[in-house]
Amino acid sequence: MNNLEGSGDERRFNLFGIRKKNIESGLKDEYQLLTVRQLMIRKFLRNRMALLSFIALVIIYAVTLFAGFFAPYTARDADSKLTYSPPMAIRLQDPETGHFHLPFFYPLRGKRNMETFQLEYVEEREERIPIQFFVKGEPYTALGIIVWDVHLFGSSDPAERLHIMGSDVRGRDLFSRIIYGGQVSLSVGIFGVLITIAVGSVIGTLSGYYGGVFDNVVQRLIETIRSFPQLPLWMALAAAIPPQWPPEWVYAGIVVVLAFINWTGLSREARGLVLSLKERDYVHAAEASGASTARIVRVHLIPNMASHIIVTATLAVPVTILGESALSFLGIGVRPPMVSWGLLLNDAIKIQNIVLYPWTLFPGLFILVAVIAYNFLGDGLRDMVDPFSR
Amino acid sequence: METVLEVDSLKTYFYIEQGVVRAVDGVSFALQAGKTLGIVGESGCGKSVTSRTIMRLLSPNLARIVAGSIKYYPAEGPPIELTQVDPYGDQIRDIRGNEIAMIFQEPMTSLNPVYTIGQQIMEAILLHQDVSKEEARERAIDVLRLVGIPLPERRVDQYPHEFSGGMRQRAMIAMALSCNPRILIADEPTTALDVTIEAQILELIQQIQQDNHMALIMITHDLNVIGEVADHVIVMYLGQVVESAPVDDIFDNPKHPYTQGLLNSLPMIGRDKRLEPITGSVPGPHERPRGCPFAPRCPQVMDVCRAESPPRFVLGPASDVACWLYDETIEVGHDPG
Amino acid sequence: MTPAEKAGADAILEIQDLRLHFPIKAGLLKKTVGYVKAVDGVSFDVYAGETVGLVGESGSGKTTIGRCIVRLYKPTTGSMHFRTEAGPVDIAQLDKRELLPIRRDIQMLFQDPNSSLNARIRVGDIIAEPLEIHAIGTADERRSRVEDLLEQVGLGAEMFNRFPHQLSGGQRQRVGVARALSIEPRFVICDEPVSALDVSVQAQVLNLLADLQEELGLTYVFIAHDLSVVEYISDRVMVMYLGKLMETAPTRKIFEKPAHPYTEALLNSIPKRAPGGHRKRFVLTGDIPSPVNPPAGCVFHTRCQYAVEICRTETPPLKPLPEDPETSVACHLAEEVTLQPYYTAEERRNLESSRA
Repeated sequence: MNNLEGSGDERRFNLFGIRKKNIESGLKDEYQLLTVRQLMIRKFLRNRMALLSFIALVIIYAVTLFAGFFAPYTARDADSKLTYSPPMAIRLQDPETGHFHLPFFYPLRGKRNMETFQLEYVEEREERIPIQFFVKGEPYTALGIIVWDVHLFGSSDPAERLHIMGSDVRGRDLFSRIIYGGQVSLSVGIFGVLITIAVGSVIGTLSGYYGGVFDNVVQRLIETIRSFPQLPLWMALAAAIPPQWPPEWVYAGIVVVLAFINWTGLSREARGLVLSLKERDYVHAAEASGASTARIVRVHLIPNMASHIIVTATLAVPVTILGESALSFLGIGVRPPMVSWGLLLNDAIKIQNIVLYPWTLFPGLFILVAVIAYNFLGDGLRDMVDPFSR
Repeated sequence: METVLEVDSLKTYFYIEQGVVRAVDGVSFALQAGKTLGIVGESGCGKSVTSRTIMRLLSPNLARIVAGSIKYYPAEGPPIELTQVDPYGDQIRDIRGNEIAMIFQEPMTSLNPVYTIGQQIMEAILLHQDVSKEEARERAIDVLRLVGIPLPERRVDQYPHEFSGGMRQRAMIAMALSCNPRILIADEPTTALDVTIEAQILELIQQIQQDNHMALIMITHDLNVIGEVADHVIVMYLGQVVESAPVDDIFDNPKHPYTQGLLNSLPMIGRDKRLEPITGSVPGPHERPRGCPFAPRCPQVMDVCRAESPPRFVLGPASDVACWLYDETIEVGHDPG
Repeated sequence: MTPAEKAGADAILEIQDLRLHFPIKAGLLKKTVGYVKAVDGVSFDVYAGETVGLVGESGSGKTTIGRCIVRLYKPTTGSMHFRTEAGPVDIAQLDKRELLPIRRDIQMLFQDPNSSLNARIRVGDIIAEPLEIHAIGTADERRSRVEDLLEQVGLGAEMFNRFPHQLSGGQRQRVGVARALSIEPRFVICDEPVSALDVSVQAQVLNLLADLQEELGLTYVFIAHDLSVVEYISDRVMVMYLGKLMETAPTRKIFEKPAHPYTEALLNSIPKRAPGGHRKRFVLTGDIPSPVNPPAGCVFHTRCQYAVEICRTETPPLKPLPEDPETSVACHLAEEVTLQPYYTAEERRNLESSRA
């Protein structure tokens, strides 16, 4: 490459060339010092799946938060003429003429098959019913205060209902019910994990910091809880919720039941972190200056644990969502009139329903997407927390 | 003198998220059989990356040999250009461990905890030599005895955690020696050890080197160790060799201001003089100086130093220095001689 | 003049028979099955204004003693009388609240500046932490004190808002020094403060410590494994082995006239340049024994080349040499064996003249 070596004279001879080369390469600054935060953000952005999942979750949560707006109907809006109607196709092209139109659909008409006695639906192609955006419909309450009646989209004819994901046994729009059900399923994940963080990190921190008898008792308790199979334990606890409680209370009860197992994992994580952090010299330095335990926990332990706790918590959310779905699917979770994805999936509990009305599995798809997205997000966050690894 | 290894203007750069790190940026030296080359420098000077480049241990995804050559001269046959061999290929595997062996700083992380010491030594022997398992075991016991491990017949079946720190380093050395390598690279072999154990290990390495007429590269930050074992020394700073000279010259007549600064910073027993540290600290990769890497900390810095990197000026048959003070065509404020 | 005389024989700290035994717990019920005798009967005095070097290999208990003095550990038995304005206080058995005022006087400097600074806190807040804990001054006063300290340790007030990872290793250790000095202690335990640093930076920190000692009249206990560093900074050296003191003597005497075979072995182990050839030296064999089951008798006898029968059975007490009371040795043979020094007095004169 360059001529640095060789005899001394030769080296002098080549000096000029070397100088030129060094000046050229010395001018551009190839290395930039990134702050930890910059490194973390870069690391996260480079993980495509995590980024995608994050965006997906933001969209899903936004939709469920403004469920009334995004859902064309309310969760209880039923139509007895359209029970178990299949998903209706949204069309842009007239199948007969081949002309393009604004989005429209053909209404379904039910006819009983006299051999099987099943209700069979056929499209009635006489009239195109346009799909209208920002259509006025059933009034709803957004964010608990604003009463409004505009929906993102819907049938322009109130008499002809649009079920893009089909309907259920009472002719309620499944898509709308999924959006409303997401409110419960997704918030159970968040609230369950908040309880998990609060209980798990406090107990874990104390148990790691003080050790001794308290630690011993807590660890044995955690081992006991974790040695039960998860689902039966949840079921047993959920069954203990009094049936006469109002649905909101049951919801809270389910959140607590789900957090009851999850806190143990987080508490172990926190304990392990504290055990390693409390041997750091900066903690020793604070102790040698006479810092109180509260100060050490607040100033030195919590900020250094926070990122790890957030990762663990993110990965605990899908577990909680699955737990709620499982319980509701089995009929011991949230109760009607509340809706959740697991409860909706309960319609698919019979094998013949899956065969006849396969769209009742749609809620499962939403559970799948949410759970996978949370797992990818947790993975991405885990990479991000340790920005110096590669 | 028989040259066994020749490194010529070697440059190894790392390509990471933040940009390019020029870990090794122009290193040249020649290694003779039976002699010890000391590589000394502070953290981040590229001394370990140099040794890992020679062994081709760096992942090609991360580190690239940008320029230069590493010629290994086998006992028979033509020289091998190590920069050209496939880092995962058979050729380097035959050389690694067999002809060029390496001892690392931290023996605990270099030994696999789930295999016995004997299994790990035998693996190296079986890989490189055509011997039976029994013969390999005999040889493993022999090398353990050679490195001074008591009761080698019993120790051979023990796991690394049953060895103390010093014993582990001995086992590492035994493993490195198991195939009679022609070159031994010792990367900070005593840094993690206590001073009495360090003395044992240094004695041992030197003893074995003399007995086997091995070439030794001793990489360390400790000038005292260099002074004890090395024949020839290269001083590295920010990936470059700033001075290369026989060991006595380095200590008695250091030429480069950095070498002089290092010696003045070193507490020496019996010298009742205040230390004269080099000012500042080793710059990070983001603040790499443009000209001479040492210019920002150099007490004798001149304008030319800040603008251009100095070439190596030959001062004697075995010594050269990369410092503009030794360019006779430049008027220097004081006499460098 | 000896350091003790220099300080008017004013012991700022008197340690008597200090022991710290860590219990080893095993089994489901965490039963104590043995003890790690980290510090096992150590007595010494530290005089105001001096620097005492504490050397030994890993496992010798030198760091544990340091941590006992700052009371990160509570000693098992023994007393540590620290001189305060109200007279000597035995800090060995004080509880957390009683210790608080003492902690203003005794601070510690840690080995690894990477782990001794909390990466999530700004440099200024790190240095201010001891001031906050002791509720000294208002926020503004603390800030100006921290800025003064930053200047004093050679960093400059503009470092106030940096985070530790934005600093070099040497700068981080200066932050550590500033934190230790923020509440104006009189007594600082320096636990290997330069061993994690590069040679050039190590010299800067050593000089800084020496200057600050002169300026502020500090007393140092300087824990290190590097004998050349200890020789540079200390007035007196104490040599430890397996939780016990082997020898204490003025620094120069340790190197010119070692009195304990272990000291001799340590000196012999120091890598040293031998111009024109290979150095012949004797090398200590074996490893430091486990502190769980230290050898009976003299703890060093298993590796001592001079050991005789009595060394295996009886523990030698640390006592002053009759001909040289400044040196105390724990060896049965202290008056009988002649030990090899690091250099002779003559060699030392040559060294000094050649370096001058």
